[in-house]
Amino acid sequence: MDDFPIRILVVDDEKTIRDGLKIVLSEEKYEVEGAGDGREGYEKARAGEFDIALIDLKMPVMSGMDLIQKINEEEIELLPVVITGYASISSAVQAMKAGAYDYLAKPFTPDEILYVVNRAVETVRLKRSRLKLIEEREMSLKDLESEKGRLKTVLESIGDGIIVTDSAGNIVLANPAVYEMFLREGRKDIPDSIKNKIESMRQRIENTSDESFSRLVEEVGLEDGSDSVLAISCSPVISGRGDLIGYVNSIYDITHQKEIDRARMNFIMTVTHELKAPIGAIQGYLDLVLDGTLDDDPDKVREVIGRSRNSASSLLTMIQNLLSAIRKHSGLRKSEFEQVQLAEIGKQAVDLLRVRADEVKVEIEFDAAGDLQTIEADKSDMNDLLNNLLSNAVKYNKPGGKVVVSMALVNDDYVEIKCADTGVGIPSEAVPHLFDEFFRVRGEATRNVPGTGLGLFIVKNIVDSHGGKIDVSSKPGEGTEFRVILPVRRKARENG
Amino acid sequence: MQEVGEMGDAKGRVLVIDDDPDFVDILKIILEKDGYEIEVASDPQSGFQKAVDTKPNIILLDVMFYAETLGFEYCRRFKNGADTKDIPVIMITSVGDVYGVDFWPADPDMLPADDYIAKPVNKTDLLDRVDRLIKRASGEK
Repeated sequence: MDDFPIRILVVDDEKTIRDGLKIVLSEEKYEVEGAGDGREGYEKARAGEFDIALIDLKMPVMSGMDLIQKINEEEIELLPVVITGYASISSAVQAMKAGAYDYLAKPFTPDEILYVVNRAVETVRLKRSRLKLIEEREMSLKDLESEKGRLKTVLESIGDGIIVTDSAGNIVLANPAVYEMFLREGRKDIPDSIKNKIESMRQRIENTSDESFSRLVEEVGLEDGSDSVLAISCSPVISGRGDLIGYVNSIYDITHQKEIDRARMNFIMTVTHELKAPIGAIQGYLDLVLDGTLDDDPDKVREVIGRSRNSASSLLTMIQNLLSAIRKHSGLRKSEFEQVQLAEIGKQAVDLLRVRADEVKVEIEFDAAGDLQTIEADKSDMNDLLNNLLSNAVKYNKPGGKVVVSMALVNDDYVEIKCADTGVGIPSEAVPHLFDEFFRVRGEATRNVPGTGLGLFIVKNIVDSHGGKIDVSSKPGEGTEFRVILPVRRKARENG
Repeated sequence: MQEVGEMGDAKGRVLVIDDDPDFVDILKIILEKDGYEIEVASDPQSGFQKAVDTKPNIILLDVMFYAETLGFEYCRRFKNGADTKDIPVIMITSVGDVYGVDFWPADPDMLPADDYIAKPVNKTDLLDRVDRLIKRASGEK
C-alpha cells in the first residue's frame, strides 16, 4: 500500500451515481468526494489534491468535456476518467483527445468501474513512485552537496593545517591553513622540510607491521631561521573496504608550547644555579673556617661568616619567592584581608635591605605620608610586594646609587606606593615582559645579579589580587620607577 | 711588563675570572694563604685584557657566565692568543651538574682548557692542580 490514500473526485449531476460510486470505491479504501456539476468539480479539482476524477460528460453549468480541457490546460495533477451515458465512439475519442485517461460507458457494474479505476490508480501509483524516486535522487544530491559543503567549510575553518596525500604520498589536498602557515612571506610551495617529514612518516606507517597503528606524531622545525616548531600528526585513511587509500596529515603550531617548555627548563636551570651559588659560597666559607685556613685571621673569620649569612638570607628570599609563586599558582594560599599598616611594612622592608644596600653602597630613602592610615590588604602579600620592589631597586642599582620609597594617599580610596631607583634601568624592549613569569632582563648590566625571575611576577599577582594597578617607567642607565596603586578598602566583589 | 713564569717572591700569579664575588673571595683566601698573588676580573673580556697585560702564571676561568658558552669561547681565545697561549687555564664549572653533562675533557678540541675543577672547590684539589700546571708550564718553557 501507498503511504498516502488515493483520492477520487466524482463529478456527476446525478446524485445516485455519486452516492453509488462513493460506496463502491470507499470499500476499496479510496477516499471519495462528489461534485454536482462541472464548475463545482473544477473548483474541487483545483483546491483539493485528487488523484483521479470520474467525470460525467453531460452536466449543467460546465460540461465534462470543458472540465477535462481546463484540467489539462491548467495542468492540474489528476487523471480524468470519463463516465457517460451518451456513449459513442466520437465523444470518447473527443474526450481522450482533450486529455481523458480512460473512458467508461454508463450503465456500468461495480466490477467494471473498479477495473477502470484500479487501472487509473495503478498509473497514479507508478507516477507517484517515479516522482518519489526523482525526489529522493534530488534529495540525496542535495544532501551530498550540503555534506560536501559542510566538509569544505570545516576543512577551511580548521586552524590546523591539513594535508592529504594519496597512498603513494602525492599531495592531493591542502586546506587554507596550510597556505596560511607556509605560503605567506613569498614562499611558493610547502617547504621541503615539511614535505620530507610527511613522506618519511608515510613510509614508516606503510612499513609498519603493527595492525593497530593509527597515527604518528612528530615535530619539525621550519628551517627558515624562525623559531617555529610544528607538530605533524599523520594518520592513514582506510576505505570502507579496508584498503589504505591515503594519509591525512594535520599540522599544528607548537611554537608557543615549546616556548613554555623552554621557559620552564630555563627556570629550572636558573633556579638550580641561583640556589647553588649561595650554598656553594656558604660551604666554601665554612670549609675555610673548619680546615683552619683562617686560624690566624679572626677578622677574616668574622668577615666570611658575615658573607655566609648574607648568602643564607638571599637564599631564603629566593626560596620564599619560589614558594609564594608556587602557592599562588596552585591556589594553595588565599589572601587574608585585614587592616594593614602599610608604612610599618615599608619600614620593615627597608630595614631588612639596609645591610645589603650598605654593602653595595646604595642609599635608601623612605617616606610615608603622615595621613596614611591602614589599608585593607593581605599582610604577607604586602610584605612580598615591598620586599620584591625594594630588593630589585637595590639589586639593579649602581654603587653610590639611591632608592626612594614613598607611600601616600592619592584620595580617600587609593594609596600610591612609589619605588624609584638610580639603577641600571630597563631596556624598553624588556618592559612588556617585565611581569612575565621567569622573565629576567639579560645583559651586561644584570648578569652579576642573582634572581629567579619571579619577583615582579609575584608583585603583579599581588597587585591584581588586591584590585590595584602597577606601572613602570624606566630609562636605561639612569633608573627605574615602579608605581603601585592599591585600593584602601577592599571592593566587595573581589575576594582573595 | 712581566714575563710568563716570572714569579717574584710569590709562588706565582693567579688570574681569577668569575662573576660570583663570594666564590672569588674564597679562591682568593685559599690561594693567598698558600702563597700565590691573585688578580681578579669579573667578566671574561676584562679578564682577557688583564691576562695580556700582566701575564699571570695561571688562569682560573668560570664557565657559567650569563651566556653559557662565553667561558669556553674565551678559553679558546686564551689558547689561540699570541700573548696568552702558554698560560695554563683551569676552567671552573658547575655546568656539569646543571646540565647533567660530564664536562671532564676527553677531546681537547671540544674543551680547550688544561684542566677543570667543579664548584664548590676542594681546597687541596685546587692547590694540587694549580701547582702542577704552573710547574708543567714553566718546565715546558
